[in-house]
Amino acid sequence: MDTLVAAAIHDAKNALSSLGVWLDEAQRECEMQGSSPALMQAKTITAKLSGQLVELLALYRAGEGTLRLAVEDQHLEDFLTDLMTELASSRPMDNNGGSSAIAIDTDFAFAKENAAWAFDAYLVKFVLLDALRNALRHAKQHIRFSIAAEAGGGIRFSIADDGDGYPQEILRSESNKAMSADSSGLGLSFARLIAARHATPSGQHGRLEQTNDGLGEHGARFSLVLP
Amino acid sequence: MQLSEKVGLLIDDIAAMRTTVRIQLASIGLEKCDQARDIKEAIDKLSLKHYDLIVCDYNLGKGADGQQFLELVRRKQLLPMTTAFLMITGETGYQQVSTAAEYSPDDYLLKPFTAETLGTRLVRIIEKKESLKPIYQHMGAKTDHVKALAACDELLAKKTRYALDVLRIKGDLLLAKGRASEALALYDEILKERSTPWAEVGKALSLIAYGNPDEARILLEQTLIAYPNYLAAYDSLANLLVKTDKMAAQQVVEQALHVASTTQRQRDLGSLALGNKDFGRAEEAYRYAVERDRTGFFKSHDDYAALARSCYEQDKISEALDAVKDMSQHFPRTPELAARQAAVECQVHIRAGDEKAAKAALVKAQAAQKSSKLDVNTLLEIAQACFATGQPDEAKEIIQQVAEDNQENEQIIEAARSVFEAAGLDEEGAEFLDNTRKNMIRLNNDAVALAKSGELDKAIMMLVEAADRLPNNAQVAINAAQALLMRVQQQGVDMTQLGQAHRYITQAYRASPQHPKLEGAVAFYRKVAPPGARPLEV
Repeated sequence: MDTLVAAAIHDAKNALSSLGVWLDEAQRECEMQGSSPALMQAKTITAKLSGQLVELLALYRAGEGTLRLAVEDQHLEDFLTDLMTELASSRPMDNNGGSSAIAIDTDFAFAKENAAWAFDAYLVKFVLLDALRNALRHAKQHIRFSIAAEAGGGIRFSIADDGDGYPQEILRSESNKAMSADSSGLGLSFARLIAARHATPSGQHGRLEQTNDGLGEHGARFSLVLP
Repeated sequence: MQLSEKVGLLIDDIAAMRTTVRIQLASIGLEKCDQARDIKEAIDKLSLKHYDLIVCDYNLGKGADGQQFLELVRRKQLLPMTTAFLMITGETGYQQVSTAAEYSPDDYLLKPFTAETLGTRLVRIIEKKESLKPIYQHMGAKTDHVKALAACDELLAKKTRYALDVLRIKGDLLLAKGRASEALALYDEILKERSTPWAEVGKALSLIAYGNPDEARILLEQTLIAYPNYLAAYDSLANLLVKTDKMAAQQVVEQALHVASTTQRQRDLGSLALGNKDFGRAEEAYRYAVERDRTGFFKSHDDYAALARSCYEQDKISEALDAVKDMSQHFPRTPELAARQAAVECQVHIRAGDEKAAKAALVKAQAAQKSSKLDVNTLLEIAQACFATGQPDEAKEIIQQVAEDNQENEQIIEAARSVFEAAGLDEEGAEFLDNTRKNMIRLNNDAVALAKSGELDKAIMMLVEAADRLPNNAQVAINAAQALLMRVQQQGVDMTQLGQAHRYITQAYRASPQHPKLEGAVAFYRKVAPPGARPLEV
């Protein structure tokens, strides 16, 4: 039985999803008269809010001891395709209100060779979407998104940008203040939680790594390692 | 692949959801789509028409869920493996219940979703189904394991993107055929690269089949630490423990209930709790099942009978009688119901010390038994009432008939055993059932020996008598048919005997369509039957 808080978050999430459907519809209507930057912006914010509610719900449930992961084989190429589609449909605008000019390079060769990996696709998708959106906010021109085998077992999703890098307190893990200064730290707490909850019977756990050896001089690199 | 060429069935108990999803389906091209609001409607539709894909909401109301539905229609052979099945769930963390591909949806989709996502997922699973068709065509009503395994190997050699799905099915098939060491090698090969819940559980099942339950238990326990939401691991562990440690099995089911509380799992818990004499917990579990399933498709006399027993064992006499009375409100008034109610009531009265009322109830139950053909569970209930009223011979007579008739059905034999246990006759029960089993083996062996020594007619007489008495015993029916066919082969076609053989093969098929000896008997019939003889429809 869900508690009131969980149920309320759940309801809000569903309401946002309906809002998203109406925004799509509004966009279809507008397309007859050309594009609407305001609508695009509204869609982006809706997607972001939805994601935050998913994260909030997961953290709340983890506190209550009722967070449940559905760890199953995911076809990696399909997973990444879905992820990139979802990102594209809600990519933040650049500061001029036009669509962002930042290029995302991908290296998914590992996914081609290794068909599947077991993880909770829904939750991991939110971790990666959050990290990608964050990188889009901080990158100057380039982002590199890759997946590779992790030495000693596991897979590593890496998102590197050519921005100014993480502030020192994040690198020292002193603060839960997240990837960007204007955020509450929700995304990072969520990402850490989801990483840690992925485990194998032999006792390996997932983890996050945040370093400033991304692109450019000292761009940020966000890595999610899953066992 | 065009969705517009496909025929779909959408199952959801909430009308507004059906409308929404129906519009989404239409927008991605699936115009031909029927709807059902509950399991009964869905089953009616599936019996009449072929569907390419099913979109089913997990929560179907009235205590029924999409997983129960999937398992039911697969067992009833109403849903071929080639039909795609997409489960829609409202919650994160919903996880596969079964490791077997047969009882697993092809994919899950979390609400809310866009039409685009729905379309992408449907196209993917339909493409997968089409790619795996060479295997699926040998699975279902009459799974041909040899051909299905050969198809697996052929597909594996082609290195398609579905190799992992093929391996998963291959593992199931190997386990079903008891080829434990090959299954173990398959799972080990996958686990060498990475851990994944289904392969961990598959490995544990192989270890059990291989005769290594201790290692399997450790592996399942470790699997549950890493994947505490993987229901198939709980179920496998509970199944393993139920043979050796029913208390531990009950605890495992209890844990699984925390992950997902379904009526079926409540039933499993209730049954274990009854066996463990944890009557308070049993009452709670059966009360849940009875209340959730009150109007549902899966409601059953058994739940009410078990609830009544949980109550009277705690001396809650009036609650027990209420449970018996309640049955009249929720089920049609059949002789089956009357017999079950009377048999349970009899036991309640005994517990309350009212022997007169108990005897009267038993007489009623036995009258129904004489006048109609009753289900196994009702018969065993009457046997239990006989024990309770001090009529062990009558009880054993019923149990013997049930056990002989259902010799190869482990579940029923187990139920018979628990009737003895409830009467406090654990050891006598074990011996009695063991003797029954030996008697059936002896009957078959004696008949074979007679046939070999030239006394085929005597063998036929023995087997025909047994086959007529035991309509659910496929082994006996098959042997009877084979003896008759030998006779036809030796002494020329006799249409009466051929007709009898036909009847017994059909009887065996009805009792156990997957029986390993059935295929041989069918082939024998086709070999000796002259053109124009009645063809076998199995």
